[in-house]
Amino acid sequence: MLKVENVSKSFKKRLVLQDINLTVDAGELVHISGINGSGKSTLFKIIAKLLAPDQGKVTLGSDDYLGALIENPGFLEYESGLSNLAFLAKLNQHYDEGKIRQLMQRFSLDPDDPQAIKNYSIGMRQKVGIIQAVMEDQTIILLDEPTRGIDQEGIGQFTELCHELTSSGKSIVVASHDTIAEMKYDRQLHLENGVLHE
Amino acid sequence: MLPTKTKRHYYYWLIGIFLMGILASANALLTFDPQDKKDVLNVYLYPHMLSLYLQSFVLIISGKEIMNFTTVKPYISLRGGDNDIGARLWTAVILNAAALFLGIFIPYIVVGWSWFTLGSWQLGTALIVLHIVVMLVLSTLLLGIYYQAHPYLQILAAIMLNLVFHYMIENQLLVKYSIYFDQLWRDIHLYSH
Repeated sequence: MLKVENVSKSFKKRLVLQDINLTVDAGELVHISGINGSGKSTLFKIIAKLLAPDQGKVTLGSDDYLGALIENPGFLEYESGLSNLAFLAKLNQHYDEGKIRQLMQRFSLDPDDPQAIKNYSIGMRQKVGIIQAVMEDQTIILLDEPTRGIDQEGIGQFTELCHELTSSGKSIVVASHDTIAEMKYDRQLHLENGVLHE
Repeated sequence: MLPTKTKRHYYYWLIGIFLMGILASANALLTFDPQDKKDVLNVYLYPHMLSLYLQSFVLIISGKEIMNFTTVKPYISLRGGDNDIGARLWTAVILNAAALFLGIFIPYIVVGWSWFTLGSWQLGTALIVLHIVVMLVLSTLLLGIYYQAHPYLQILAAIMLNLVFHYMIENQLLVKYSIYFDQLWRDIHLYSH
Protein backbone atom coordinates (compact mmCIF):
# COMPACT_ATOMS: atom_id res chain seq x y z
CA MET A 1 0.00 0.00 0.00
CA LEU A 2 1.18 3.50 -0.85
CA LYS A 3 0.28 6.37 1.43
CA VAL A 4 1.10 10.00 0.70
CA GLU A 5 0.29 12.32 3.59
CA ASN A 6 0.18 16.11 3.49
CA VAL A 7 2.96 16.44 0.97
CA SER A 8 3.87 19.94 -0.18
CA LYS A 9 6.69 21.09 -2.40
CA SER A 10 7.82 24.45 -3.70
CA PHE A 11 10.56 25.40 -6.12
CA LYS A 12 11.83 28.79 -5.06
CA LYS A 13 8.60 30.73 -4.56
CA ARG A 14 6.45 28.56 -6.83
CA LEU A 15 4.21 26.14 -4.97
CA VAL A 16 4.06 22.96 -7.04
CA LEU A 17 2.32 20.57 -4.65
CA GLN A 18 0.01 21.66 -1.90
CA ASP A 19 -0.99 19.32 0.91
CA ILE A 20 -1.27 16.21 -1.25
CA ASN A 21 -2.94 13.16 0.26
CA LEU A 22 -3.18 9.91 -1.64
CA THR A 23 -3.66 6.29 -0.70
CA VAL A 24 -3.28 3.50 -3.24
CA ASP A 25 -4.33 0.01 -2.21
CA ALA A 26 -3.05 -3.29 -3.54
CA GLY A 27 -4.37 -4.09 -6.99
CA GLU A 28 -5.55 -0.55 -7.67
CA LEU A 29 -5.03 1.23 -10.99
CA VAL A 30 -5.05 4.99 -10.47
CA HIS A 31 -4.80 7.76 -13.01
CA ILE A 32 -3.51 11.24 -12.21
CA SER A 33 -4.17 13.71 -14.98
CA GLY A 34 -2.95 17.26 -15.23
CA ILE A 35 -1.48 19.64 -17.73
CA ASN A 36 2.29 19.81 -18.36
CA GLY A 37 4.01 21.34 -15.36
CA SER A 38 1.14 20.58 -13.00
CA GLY A 39 3.45 18.69 -10.63
CA LYS A 40 2.79 15.06 -11.61
CA SER A 41 6.46 14.27 -12.12
CA THR A 42 7.39 16.11 -8.91
CA LEU A 43 4.89 14.01 -6.97
CA PHE A 44 6.34 10.82 -8.47
CA LYS A 45 9.89 11.90 -7.67
CA ILE A 46 8.87 12.54 -4.07
CA ILE A 47 7.18 9.14 -3.81
CA ALA A 48 10.28 7.52 -5.33
CA LYS A 49 12.44 9.43 -2.80
CA LEU A 50 14.36 11.13 -5.60
CA LEU A 51 13.21 14.47 -4.25
CA ALA A 52 12.55 15.51 -0.67
CA PRO A 53 9.19 17.13 0.12
CA ASP A 54 9.08 20.42 2.00
CA GLN A 55 6.60 18.79 4.32
CA GLY A 56 4.58 15.62 4.60
CA LYS A 57 5.60 12.00 4.23
CA VAL A 58 5.35 8.99 1.98
CA THR A 59 4.89 5.50 3.38
CA LEU A 60 5.08 2.13 1.64
CA GLY A 61 3.94 -1.19 3.04
CA SER A 62 6.71 -3.26 4.66
CA ASP A 63 6.76 -5.77 1.77
CA ASP A 64 6.33 -3.21 -0.96
CA TYR A 65 8.94 -2.60 -3.62
CA LEU A 66 8.66 0.51 -5.74
CA GLY A 67 9.15 0.64 -9.49
CA ALA A 68 8.96 3.84 -11.47
CA LEU A 69 9.15 5.18 -14.97
CA ILE A 70 10.39 8.72 -14.58
CA GLU A 71 9.75 11.24 -17.35
CA ASN A 72 12.23 10.99 -20.26
CA PRO A 73 13.96 7.79 -19.23
CA GLY A 74 17.77 7.96 -19.35
CA PHE A 75 20.00 4.95 -19.84
CA LEU A 76 23.59 3.91 -20.38
CA GLU A 77 23.57 5.19 -23.92
CA TYR A 78 26.26 2.89 -25.39
CA GLU A 79 24.58 -0.26 -24.12
CA SER A 80 21.78 -2.29 -25.70
CA GLY A 81 18.28 -2.43 -24.24
CA LEU A 82 18.89 -5.84 -22.66
CA SER A 83 22.23 -4.74 -21.16
CA ASN A 84 20.60 -1.69 -19.62
CA LEU A 85 17.81 -3.73 -18.08
CA ALA A 86 20.23 -6.38 -16.84
CA PHE A 87 22.44 -3.68 -15.28
CA LEU A 88 19.49 -2.20 -13.36
CA ALA A 89 18.08 -5.56 -12.26
CA LYS A 90 21.49 -6.71 -11.01
CA LEU A 91 21.79 -3.66 -8.75
CA ASN A 92 19.75 -5.38 -6.10
CA GLN A 93 20.07 -8.98 -7.20
CA HIS A 94 16.68 -9.17 -8.91
CA TYR A 95 18.06 -10.21 -12.28
CA ASP A 96 15.89 -12.66 -14.17
CA GLU A 97 17.01 -12.71 -17.79
CA GLY A 98 14.15 -14.94 -18.90
CA LYS A 99 11.60 -12.52 -17.55
CA ILE A 100 13.33 -9.50 -19.10
CA ARG A 101 13.51 -11.24 -22.49
CA GLN A 102 9.85 -12.17 -22.28
CA LEU A 103 8.84 -8.58 -21.41
CA MET A 104 10.94 -7.19 -24.26
CA GLN A 105 9.40 -9.60 -26.75
CA ARG A 106 5.98 -8.72 -25.44
CA PHE A 107 6.68 -5.08 -26.30
CA SER A 108 8.03 -6.06 -29.74
CA LEU A 109 11.63 -5.30 -28.76
CA ASP A 110 14.33 -7.75 -29.83
CA PRO A 111 16.35 -8.68 -26.74
CA ASP A 112 19.27 -9.76 -28.93
CA ASP A 113 19.37 -6.50 -30.86
CA PRO A 114 22.95 -5.31 -30.23
CA GLN A 115 22.33 -1.68 -31.23
CA ALA A 116 23.02 0.93 -28.57
CA ILE A 117 20.00 2.38 -26.83
CA LYS A 118 21.02 5.85 -28.00
CA ASN A 119 19.82 4.76 -31.44
CA TYR A 120 16.39 3.69 -30.13
CA SER A 121 13.33 5.76 -31.01
CA ILE A 122 11.48 7.64 -28.25
CA GLY A 123 8.81 4.93 -28.19
CA MET A 124 11.37 2.12 -27.89
CA ARG A 125 13.14 3.92 -25.04
CA GLN A 126 9.79 4.41 -23.37
CA LYS A 127 9.07 0.68 -23.63
CA VAL A 128 12.44 -0.12 -22.02
CA GLY A 129 11.52 2.41 -19.31
CA ILE A 130 8.22 0.64 -18.66
CA ILE A 131 9.93 -2.76 -18.55
CA GLN A 132 12.48 -1.62 -15.95
CA ALA A 133 9.61 -0.42 -13.76
CA VAL A 134 7.95 -3.84 -13.67
CA MET A 135 10.68 -6.43 -14.38
CA GLU A 136 11.61 -7.05 -10.73
CA ASP A 137 8.09 -7.84 -9.52
CA GLN A 138 7.69 -4.35 -8.13
CA THR A 139 4.50 -4.12 -6.10
CA ILE A 140 3.89 -0.38 -6.50
CA ILE A 141 4.49 0.99 -9.97
CA LEU A 142 4.58 4.67 -10.89
CA LEU A 143 4.39 5.44 -14.59
CA ASP A 144 4.91 9.01 -15.72
CA GLU A 145 3.61 9.71 -19.25
CA PRO A 146 4.10 6.01 -20.10
CA THR A 147 2.66 6.06 -23.62
CA ARG A 148 4.67 9.04 -24.85
CA GLY A 149 5.93 8.16 -28.32
CA ILE A 150 4.52 4.62 -28.24
CA ASP A 151 2.60 3.33 -31.27
CA GLN A 152 -1.00 2.09 -31.05
CA GLU A 153 0.06 -1.57 -30.87
CA GLY A 154 2.44 -0.74 -28.04
CA ILE A 155 -0.30 1.12 -26.17
CA GLY A 156 -2.46 -2.01 -26.43
CA GLN A 157 0.40 -4.15 -25.06
CA PHE A 158 0.95 -1.65 -22.26
CA THR A 159 -2.75 -1.57 -21.30
CA GLU A 160 -2.90 -5.36 -21.24
CA LEU A 161 0.20 -5.52 -19.03
CA CYS A 162 -1.23 -2.97 -16.58
CA HIS A 163 -4.48 -4.93 -16.22
CA GLU A 164 -2.53 -8.16 -15.73
CA LEU A 165 -0.36 -6.59 -13.06
CA THR A 166 -3.27 -5.11 -11.13
CA SER A 167 -5.09 -8.46 -11.33
CA SER A 168 -2.11 -10.01 -9.59
CA GLY A 169 -2.31 -7.46 -6.77
CA LYS A 170 0.21 -4.87 -7.98
CA SER A 171 -0.70 -1.19 -7.58
CA ILE A 172 -0.17 1.13 -10.51
CA VAL A 173 -0.34 4.92 -10.64
CA VAL A 174 -0.27 6.41 -14.13
CA ALA A 175 0.33 10.12 -14.58
CA SER A 176 -0.41 11.64 -17.96
CA HIS A 177 -1.76 14.82 -19.45
CA ASP A 178 -4.10 12.82 -21.70
CA THR A 179 -6.20 9.73 -21.22
CA ILE A 180 -5.56 6.27 -22.60
CA ALA A 181 -8.90 5.09 -23.95
CA GLU A 182 -8.30 1.37 -23.36
CA MET A 183 -7.34 1.76 -19.70
CA LYS A 184 -9.90 0.84 -17.09
CA TYR A 185 -8.88 2.91 -14.09
CA ASP A 186 -10.23 2.23 -10.62
CA ARG A 187 -9.84 5.90 -9.76
CA GLN A 188 -9.17 9.06 -11.72
CA LEU A 189 -7.60 12.07 -10.01
CA HIS A 190 -6.74 15.47 -11.35
CA LEU A 191 -3.79 17.62 -10.32
CA GLU A 192 -4.37 21.32 -10.78
CA ASN A 193 -2.56 24.29 -9.25
CA GLY A 194 -0.76 21.92 -6.91
CA VAL A 195 -3.98 20.43 -5.53
CA LEU A 196 -5.07 16.84 -6.13
CA HIS A 197 -8.80 16.54 -6.85
CA GLU A 198 -10.86 13.34 -6.90
CA MET B 1 28.08 -5.59 -12.45
CA LEU B 2 28.81 -2.91 -15.07
CA PRO B 3 27.66 -3.83 -18.59
CA THR B 4 30.30 -5.12 -21.00
CA LYS B 5 30.49 -2.16 -23.40
CA THR B 6 30.72 0.38 -20.58
CA LYS B 7 33.46 -1.69 -18.92
CA ARG B 8 35.31 -2.06 -22.23
CA HIS B 9 35.04 1.69 -22.75
CA TYR B 10 36.71 2.30 -19.37
CA TYR B 11 39.50 -0.17 -20.06
CA TYR B 12 40.23 1.45 -23.44
CA TRP B 13 40.48 4.87 -21.84
CA LEU B 14 42.64 3.50 -19.02
CA ILE B 15 45.07 1.99 -21.50
CA GLY B 16 44.87 5.15 -23.63
CA ILE B 17 45.73 7.37 -20.65
CA PHE B 18 48.64 5.10 -19.68
CA LEU B 19 50.03 5.17 -23.25
CA MET B 20 49.53 8.93 -23.42
CA GLY B 21 51.56 9.26 -20.20
CA ILE B 22 54.32 7.01 -21.61
CA LEU B 23 54.49 8.96 -24.88
CA ALA B 24 54.43 12.38 -23.22
CA SER B 25 57.11 11.27 -20.75
CA ALA B 26 59.28 9.72 -23.46
CA ASN B 27 58.96 12.91 -25.48
CA ALA B 28 59.97 15.00 -22.45
CA LEU B 29 63.04 12.81 -21.87
CA LEU B 30 64.07 12.67 -25.53
CA THR B 31 63.80 16.41 -26.01
CA PHE B 32 65.32 17.25 -22.63
CA ASP B 33 67.92 20.03 -22.98
CA PRO B 34 71.37 18.44 -22.31
CA GLN B 35 72.44 21.68 -20.61
CA ASP B 36 69.58 21.38 -18.14
CA LYS B 37 69.74 19.57 -14.80
CA LYS B 38 68.52 16.00 -14.69
CA ASP B 39 66.04 15.93 -11.84
CA VAL B 40 62.60 14.36 -11.81
CA LEU B 41 60.97 17.59 -10.65
CA ASN B 42 62.77 19.53 -13.37
CA VAL B 43 61.52 17.09 -16.00
CA TYR B 44 57.87 16.78 -14.93
CA LEU B 45 56.70 19.13 -12.19
CA TYR B 46 58.37 22.39 -13.22
CA PRO B 47 57.26 22.28 -16.90
CA HIS B 48 53.56 22.82 -17.57
CA MET B 49 52.93 19.79 -19.79
CA LEU B 50 51.80 17.41 -17.05
CA SER B 51 49.56 19.79 -15.11
CA LEU B 52 48.26 21.95 -17.93
CA TYR B 53 47.61 19.40 -20.67
CA LEU B 54 47.76 15.81 -19.44
CA GLN B 55 45.98 16.21 -16.10
CA SER B 56 43.34 18.50 -17.60
CA PHE B 57 42.70 15.87 -20.28
CA VAL B 58 42.41 13.07 -17.71
CA LEU B 59 40.02 15.16 -15.59
CA ILE B 60 37.82 15.70 -18.67
CA ILE B 61 37.82 11.97 -19.50
CA SER B 62 37.05 11.04 -15.88
CA GLY B 63 34.24 13.62 -15.81
CA LYS B 64 32.76 12.22 -19.02
CA GLU B 65 32.92 8.68 -17.64
CA ILE B 66 30.93 9.78 -14.59
CA MET B 67 28.47 11.69 -16.78
CA ASN B 68 27.58 8.41 -18.55
CA PHE B 69 25.79 7.42 -15.36
CA THR B 70 24.01 10.66 -14.53
CA THR B 71 21.15 10.03 -16.99
CA VAL B 72 20.37 6.63 -15.49
CA LYS B 73 20.88 7.82 -11.91
CA PRO B 74 17.14 8.04 -11.01
CA TYR B 75 16.77 4.31 -11.74
CA ILE B 76 19.95 3.51 -9.82
CA SER B 77 18.79 5.59 -6.82
CA LEU B 78 15.41 3.90 -6.90
CA ARG B 79 17.19 0.58 -6.43
CA GLY B 80 19.45 1.89 -3.67
CA GLY B 81 22.52 1.47 -5.89
CA ASP B 82 24.04 4.94 -5.52
CA ASN B 83 26.78 3.93 -3.08
CA ASP B 84 27.77 0.93 -5.15
CA ILE B 85 27.93 2.88 -8.41
CA GLY B 86 29.63 5.81 -6.64
CA ALA B 87 32.35 3.42 -5.38
CA ARG B 88 32.85 1.96 -8.86
CA LEU B 89 33.08 5.39 -10.44
CA TRP B 90 35.54 6.49 -7.78
CA THR B 91 37.70 3.45 -8.52
CA ALA B 92 37.53 4.25 -12.24
CA VAL B 93 38.65 7.88 -11.87
CA ILE B 94 41.39 6.99 -9.37
CA LEU B 95 42.67 4.34 -11.78
CA ASN B 96 42.70 6.94 -14.57
CA ALA B 97 44.93 9.21 -12.47
CA ALA B 98 47.11 6.27 -11.42
CA ALA B 99 47.52 5.18 -15.06
CA LEU B 100 48.68 8.67 -16.00
CA PHE B 101 51.32 8.83 -13.27
CA LEU B 102 52.51 5.30 -13.98
CA GLY B 103 52.87 6.21 -17.64
CA ILE B 104 54.76 9.37 -16.70
CA PHE B 105 57.22 7.87 -14.22
CA ILE B 106 57.99 4.50 -15.84
CA PRO B 107 60.14 6.03 -18.65
CA TYR B 108 62.10 8.01 -16.03
CA ILE B 109 62.82 4.79 -14.14
CA VAL B 110 63.80 3.10 -17.40
CA VAL B 111 66.35 5.79 -18.40
CA GLY B 112 67.90 5.47 -14.93
CA TRP B 113 68.47 9.17 -14.26
CA SER B 114 68.90 10.23 -10.64
CA TRP B 115 65.65 11.42 -9.15
CA PHE B 116 66.62 14.30 -6.90
CA THR B 117 69.80 16.15 -7.84
CA LEU B 118 68.72 19.74 -7.16
CA GLY B 119 67.41 19.39 -3.59
CA SER B 120 66.75 17.01 -0.74
CA TRP B 121 65.13 13.71 -1.64
CA GLN B 122 62.74 14.09 1.29
CA LEU B 123 61.30 17.37 0.04
CA GLY B 124 61.38 16.14 -3.56
CA THR B 125 59.45 13.02 -2.64
CA ALA B 126 56.97 15.09 -0.64
CA LEU B 127 56.39 17.35 -3.66
CA ILE B 128 55.71 14.38 -5.94
CA VAL B 129 53.38 12.82 -3.37
CA LEU B 130 51.57 16.16 -2.93
CA HIS B 131 51.20 16.51 -6.71
CA ILE B 132 49.69 13.03 -6.97
CA VAL B 133 47.45 13.56 -3.94
CA VAL B 134 46.07 16.81 -5.39
CA MET B 135 45.20 15.00 -8.63
CA LEU B 136 43.55 12.16 -6.68
CA VAL B 137 41.54 14.66 -4.60
CA LEU B 138 40.41 16.53 -7.72
CA SER B 139 39.42 13.24 -9.36
CA THR B 140 37.44 12.36 -6.24
CA LEU B 141 35.72 15.76 -6.30
CA LEU B 142 34.52 14.94 -9.81
CA LEU B 143 32.20 12.37 -8.24
CA GLY B 144 30.02 15.38 -7.41
CA ILE B 145 28.93 15.15 -11.06
CA TYR B 146 27.06 11.94 -10.21
CA TYR B 147 25.42 13.31 -7.10
CA GLN B 148 24.70 16.91 -8.15
CA ALA B 149 23.90 18.94 -11.20
CA HIS B 150 26.11 21.11 -13.47
CA PRO B 151 28.62 18.48 -14.67
CA TYR B 152 30.51 20.78 -17.04
CA LEU B 153 30.91 23.38 -14.32
CA GLN B 154 32.36 20.74 -12.01
CA ILE B 155 34.84 19.55 -14.64
CA LEU B 156 35.85 23.16 -15.28
CA ALA B 157 36.24 23.77 -11.53
CA ALA B 158 38.49 20.70 -11.17
CA ILE B 159 40.68 21.87 -14.07
CA MET B 160 40.90 25.40 -12.64
CA LEU B 161 41.86 24.09 -9.19
CA ASN B 162 44.49 21.88 -10.81
CA LEU B 163 45.99 24.90 -12.57
CA VAL B 164 45.77 27.11 -9.49
CA PHE B 165 47.68 24.47 -7.54
CA HIS B 166 50.34 24.12 -10.22
CA TYR B 167 50.91 27.80 -10.99
CA MET B 168 50.36 29.36 -7.57
CA ILE B 169 51.30 26.74 -4.99
CA GLU B 170 53.49 24.09 -6.55
CA ASN B 171 55.78 26.61 -8.27
CA GLN B 172 56.39 28.29 -4.89
CA LEU B 173 57.07 24.95 -3.23
CA LEU B 174 59.54 24.03 -5.97
CA VAL B 175 61.62 27.08 -5.00
CA LYS B 176 61.80 25.70 -1.44
CA TYR B 177 63.18 22.48 -2.93
CA SER B 178 65.79 24.31 -5.02
CA ILE B 179 66.63 27.91 -5.89
CA TYR B 180 67.05 26.53 -9.42
CA PHE B 181 63.26 26.92 -9.84
CA ASP B 182 63.21 30.56 -8.75
CA GLN B 183 62.31 32.67 -11.76
CA LEU B 184 64.54 35.60 -10.79
CA TRP B 185 67.48 33.27 -10.14
CA ARG B 186 66.89 31.59 -13.51
CA ASP B 187 66.70 34.93 -15.31
CA ILE B 188 70.06 35.97 -13.84
CA HIS B 189 71.95 32.67 -14.04
CA LEU B 190 70.46 30.77 -16.94
CA TYR B 191 69.13 33.27 -19.41
CA SER B 192 71.49 36.23 -18.93
CA HIS B 193 73.94 35.21 -21.71
